[in-house]
Amino acid sequence: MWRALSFLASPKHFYHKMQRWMPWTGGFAWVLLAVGTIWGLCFAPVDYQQGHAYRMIYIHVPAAMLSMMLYTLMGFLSVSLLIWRIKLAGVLLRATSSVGASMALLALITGSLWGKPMWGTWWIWDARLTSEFVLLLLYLAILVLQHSYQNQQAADHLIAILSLVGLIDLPIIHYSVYWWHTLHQGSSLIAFAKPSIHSSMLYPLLVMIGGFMMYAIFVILLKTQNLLLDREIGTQWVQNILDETP
Amino acid sequence: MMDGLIHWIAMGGYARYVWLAYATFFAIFIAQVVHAKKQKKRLVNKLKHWIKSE
Repeated sequence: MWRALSFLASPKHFYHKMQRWMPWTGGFAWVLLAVGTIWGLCFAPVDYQQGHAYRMIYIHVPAAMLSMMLYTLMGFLSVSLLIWRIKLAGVLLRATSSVGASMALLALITGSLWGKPMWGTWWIWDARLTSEFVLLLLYLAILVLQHSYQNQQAADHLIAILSLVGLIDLPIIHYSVYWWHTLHQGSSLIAFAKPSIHSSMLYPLLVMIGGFMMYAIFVILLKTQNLLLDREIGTQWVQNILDETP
Repeated sequence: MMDGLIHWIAMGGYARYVWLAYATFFAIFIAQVVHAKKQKKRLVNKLKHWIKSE
């Protein structure tokens, strides 16, 4: 862990390492997303109750999972920034929040599109839906905060504090379907437990989850690079990069 | 063959929901990457301009 933290301590090394990783993560993400989409839409069997409508699971579940995983990552980055004073954590926090917001938005849109034919409504103030909506609001608040302060380091600290406070929403989202027996179904995928979904439907879902993860890493790295260039403009290594860029 | 294709496109009557969901997914994912790449281009140009003027 300390090696990972020391790697985060140098923006220059981080930038160059990312430059090498990005084509691989990007390429791998698009391949997995293409395979998962084709598998889920064309080859996965039709559900006996929901028919073809269940195929939205291949976007909805990965998007909802990633929205929570990225927020958990933001919690770790916030601790790194507030306790260990790692400046790069603030940059990663900003990059992660915009990707997390898009995942939460996608989860809510696809959930709504799935809810209409299955539940007969686009939206209901169900515990799971409401807590996911709160997560989107937290992401949006963090995005607004990023652009509200001229002093970037002060903004980073406020974002970190807000991220830590918002962590309380994650267990509420996860356990909402068990605490309150409302409209949203229970989890199909639970860590260390036998999934309640048949393997012919599960494998494309796992491919899509992998694709979403790789995509999130790719976009976070891309955005982090932009933020680093902007912040480190006075340094020699950024000037060398600018000289090399046509 | 043709019937099978039409049936698949119709998604058993759920076409507008399923295809709209996938269209939204690809639109958000592609827009995010394009935006980040354009931002980098703009940023590099801005920073080069700034260095020249310094």
